[in-house]
Formats: sequence, structure tokens, C-alpha cells
Amino acid sequence: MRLWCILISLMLSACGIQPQQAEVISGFSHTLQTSSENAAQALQWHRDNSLHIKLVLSALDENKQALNCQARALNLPTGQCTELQQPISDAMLQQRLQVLETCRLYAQSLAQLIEETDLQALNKSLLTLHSAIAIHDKQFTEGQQQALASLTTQITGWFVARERYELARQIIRDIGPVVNQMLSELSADLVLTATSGARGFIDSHQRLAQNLLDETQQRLTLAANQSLIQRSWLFEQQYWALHSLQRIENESDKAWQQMQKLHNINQSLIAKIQQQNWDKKSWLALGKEIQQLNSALQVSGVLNE
Amino acid sequence: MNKDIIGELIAVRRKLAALLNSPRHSTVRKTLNALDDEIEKLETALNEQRGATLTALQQAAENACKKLDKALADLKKGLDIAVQVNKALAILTDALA
Repeated sequence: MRLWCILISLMLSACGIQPQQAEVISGFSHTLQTSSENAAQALQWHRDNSLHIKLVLSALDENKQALNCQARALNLPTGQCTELQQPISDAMLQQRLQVLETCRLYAQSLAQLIEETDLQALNKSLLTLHSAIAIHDKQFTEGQQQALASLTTQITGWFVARERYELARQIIRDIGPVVNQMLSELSADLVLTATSGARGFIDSHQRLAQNLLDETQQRLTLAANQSLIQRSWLFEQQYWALHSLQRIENESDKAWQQMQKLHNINQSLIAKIQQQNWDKKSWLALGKEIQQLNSALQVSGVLNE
Repeated sequence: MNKDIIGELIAVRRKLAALLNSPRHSTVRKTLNALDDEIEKLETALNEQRGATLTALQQAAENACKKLDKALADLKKGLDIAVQVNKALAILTDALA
């Protein structure tokens, strides 16, 4: 009977998810959730600041002032003005945010699945039962032994732990590659063309900031014709353009590093899950990579605040 | 393709902007505005194009998620039973102790 119980406990732990695997999948889920939230904030900033710069540019341009005034006269939020909706409309932003929300929800279900603790409690109970049985082992009749064996067979019959691992595998195998494709597409909106290879929100934002810098520089060279208030306003806008350009570069570098790492980690996870590769060392190494990315995400989060 | 055209248009715009020695230089200003409009149209088209790709991917992920939601709900039921068994085991352990 004692041997039987040891065997049952071993079967439960062997068929289920290994602690290192659980740690890696759970760490990855949290990293993906944080990255999705950070990316959503960055996209929102690209859109908001682009709109702000467009308004300043239109204020600088006599031809476009009419358009701005029209939006105000119609009592429309400036974002609804057709011209200001280009090249990053509210609809485009909302659509990207929805994609990020899908990534976040995927990560959340994965974390919930992996972090369920009921199974751990069940395993603990089995071990406690095993100790209790050990004391009374000799007192059990054949029938009692059979009754206990059938109870433990029922428990192991569910193989809940294995089911959980299978489900996690299925989620990672089915959705993981799509998440990676989505991350690659989204990179174009968060990383400048030089690195991402495709133009997106961030490139439009950079172009607008550069235009603002050029326009303000030009007007400041002709500053003799302008009042002190006008010059001071132009300096403010020039400072804002420079600040935006600097921040765009920083955000791009940060996003590129994070997206690359996240993509690679997801890729390794998918490969391990597909090959059913249980190699403690390599799972530990992957766990370490995730930890490093998590620390980097926390640091960049603090800087943003 | 659009990406390359945008790059070239931006380069032309910068050259033109450098020629602009007065903000009231109407011809250059008009050309600059026309170029800006063209660049924005192309950028908008590119952003929309990528948006369509993203929507298709998101749809695929959501469909897969829906199937898995059901499996997750079944597993939750299994876990609920496990909790009940856990309680029964605790009683049994107490009885044996």
C-alpha cells in the first residue's frame, strides 16, 4: 500500500507540469502582460503627441489655420477633424489597442491556468494521507486496501495536472505563433523604420516632430519681425520638437530591445512546448532570460513615471 | 513600395524647406503643403494596410481563445471536484491519525 501511494504521488507530479516549466510559463505571461500595457501607453503617446504637433503646425501655417478654426466652430473635438485624423486616426489607435488587449488576455489566461494552486493542495493532501496510511499500514484489510487504491486511482484518473499541462501546451502552440506575428506587425508602430524595416505610427510622429523643428527654426531666424511673445512661443515649440525627437529615439530603442527579446522568448517557449523538450537546464536558462526582461521592463516603467 | 516613396518625398520636402527663406514665400509654401498632404495620404494608407493585417491576426487569436475558453471551463470543473476530493482526503487523514 505504501509503495502504491508513493507511486501515485510520483505519477501525479510526473504527468503534470514541472515546477521550472510552470515558473517559466508564469513569468512569460506576466512579462507579456506588462509589455502589452507598456506598448499601449507608448502608442497612445505617439498618437497624442502627433496630434498636438499637428495642431501647432497648423497654427504656424496661415493656410491651415482655417481648418483648425472650422473644427472649433463646429464644436468638434480636434481629433475628429478629418485632416487631423491623418496619418494616425483614432480608429487605427483603437484597433492597435485591441490587438494589445488580445495579447494581454492570452497572457492572463495562461497565468491563471498555470498559477491555479488547488492541485498543489491536492498533492499535499495525498502526501499527508500517505504518512497517515504508513502508520496504520499493517492494520488494513485487503478490502480496505482496495478501497483506498480505488480512491487514489480515481484521483490519478483525472490526471488534472496533466490536463492542465496539455491545455497550456495547446494554448501556447495555437496562439503563441499568432501573438508573435502580432508583435512583429506592432513593432512597425513602435520602432523606427531603420530597425523595424516598416513605416508605422512612430515614423509619422518623428516626421511631424522634425517638421515642427524645421518650421520653428526657420521662423526664429526671422525673429526680428516678431514680438517677444511670439518668439517665446516659438522657442517653446522648438524645445517641444527637440524633446519629442529625443524621446521618440529613446522609445524606439527601448521598444526594439523589448520586442526582440519577447519575440525570442515566445519562440523558444513554442519550440520547447512543441518538441515536448524537458531539459531542466534549458528551461532554467529561459527562466533567467524572462527574469532579465522583467527587470528591464520594471526599470523602463520607473523611468516613464 | 509606399515606404520608399515616402522616404523620397520627405527628402524632397527637406530640400524645399531649406529653400524657403520666408514663411510668406507662397509658391514654395504651397508646394510644401501639397507634399505634406501627399506624404500623409501615403502614411495613412500604410497604417490602414497594416491595420487590416493586424485585424486578421487578432481574429485568428480570438477564435483560438474561444475554443480554449471552453476547455479551461471544463478544467475548472475538474479542479472543483479536486477541491472536494481534497476535503474528503483531509477527513480521511484525520480519521486515520
